[in-house]
Amino acid sequence: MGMNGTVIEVSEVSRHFRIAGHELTALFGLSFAVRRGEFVSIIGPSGCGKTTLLRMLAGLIEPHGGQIRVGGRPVRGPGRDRAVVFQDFALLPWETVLGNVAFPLEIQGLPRGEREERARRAIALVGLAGFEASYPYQLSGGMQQRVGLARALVVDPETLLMDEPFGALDAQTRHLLQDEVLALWQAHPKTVVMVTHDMEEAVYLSDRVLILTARPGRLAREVAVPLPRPRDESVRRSAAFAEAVEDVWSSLRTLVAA
Amino acid sequence: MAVLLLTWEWAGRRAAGTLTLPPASAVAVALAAQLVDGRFWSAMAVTLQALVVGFALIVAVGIPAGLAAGHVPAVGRALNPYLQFLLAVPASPLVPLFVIAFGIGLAARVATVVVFGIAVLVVNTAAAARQTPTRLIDMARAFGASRRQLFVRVVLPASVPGIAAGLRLASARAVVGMVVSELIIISVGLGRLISTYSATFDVANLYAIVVVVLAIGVGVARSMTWLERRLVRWA
Repeated sequence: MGMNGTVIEVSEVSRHFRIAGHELTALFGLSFAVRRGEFVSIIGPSGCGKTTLLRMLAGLIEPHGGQIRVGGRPVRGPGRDRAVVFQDFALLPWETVLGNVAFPLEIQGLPRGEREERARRAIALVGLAGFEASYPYQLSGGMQQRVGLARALVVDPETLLMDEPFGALDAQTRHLLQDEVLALWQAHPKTVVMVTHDMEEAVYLSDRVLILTARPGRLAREVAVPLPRPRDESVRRSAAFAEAVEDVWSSLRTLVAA
Repeated sequence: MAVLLLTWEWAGRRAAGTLTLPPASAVAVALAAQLVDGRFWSAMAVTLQALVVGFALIVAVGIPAGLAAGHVPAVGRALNPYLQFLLAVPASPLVPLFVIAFGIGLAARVATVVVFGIAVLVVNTAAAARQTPTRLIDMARAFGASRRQLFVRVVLPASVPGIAAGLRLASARAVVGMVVSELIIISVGLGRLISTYSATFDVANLYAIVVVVLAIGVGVARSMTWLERRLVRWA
């Protein structure tokens, strides 16, 4: 596996779940691959199993059919090569910002001095220096998600899994955080899989956008985003950006209407 | 408070000689006399002993039992019938059973305190443990937490508000248990003083002891509220 080799391989993955005695298929026969250092977004109508897919990539749940390989090995559970940013932040309310960001390192059994030093660096990276001793309830939604981002970055994962990371934020905050994630990713490239329902966000950040069908979710189409790197905010106003968003929307609208 | 005391004083003076309601001033005098009487303090010590030992047992057994019941569904199902029984049935009729089982010593009074207070703590603790937000459990698992780490670093702290509320409710019921055990059957401590003054129509002293019992109740409730605020500063 070279520098640009495949990191994530999803092969014929299916997942069912039961609601009130009915067997529903969330995902069926889904296959795709993600290359090292690639930023891939997954978008689709609600209920298409996007979040289910991300939870399987994280190792929180298992596929009922098919296989997921990360770094060449089948996923058997959560692993240190992956870190998750959650939609609803999932911060420990009784821990400070420092305690929350250091939490994954504490789980790994690192000594206090080392984990706090690394946590402080991650906190500074997301622009929260000075808030180490604050509690989550004292922070705005945008700041809470910066904590969530720092907590994922602190373990220096090969792959970052983001589940609608900006979905719970207001439009302005979402914009700002997208810019910061873009800048962070360009400075510290990682493989990223992001689930989103925001087409502009998907196009702005990604190299490729995977469009899933309505339930059962399978790959409808993949769009390679034809925007040059490195990108910045000015990209949002370019004609190429508008065209790429329109392209994604043209596929998505037929799926949503269906 | 002042209005209440003045109304009491006025009503007590009107009722003078009827033995029903002593004026507030007479109760204050009786209370002052009690507070310098060694017999009062030894009665107080006997009473508080049952409360302190009983409450310590409630905490030592109730919190682990509640956490187990909330975290392990099988334990919760096994304990539930007994908890529902203890919550629904008045515990007073059990006091004579404890006397038969433990004699009329400290053990029977401690058992009464425990039976009055423990169920509400277990139920609150279990509910809090069970309601640990799924997103926090997912988060900890995603970062590789073991079952033990999940319990110690997520379920336990997430249960603290429920435990604190349970302690507050249990302490109030424990005080009731303390009073009931001494009044119903085991005539010692402040309960014996209440029985004695009641039997001899010494209403001023009777009221003075009742005031002391109420003060214990308020004191326990206050300290539990304080503890709750200390424990849950992050919410």
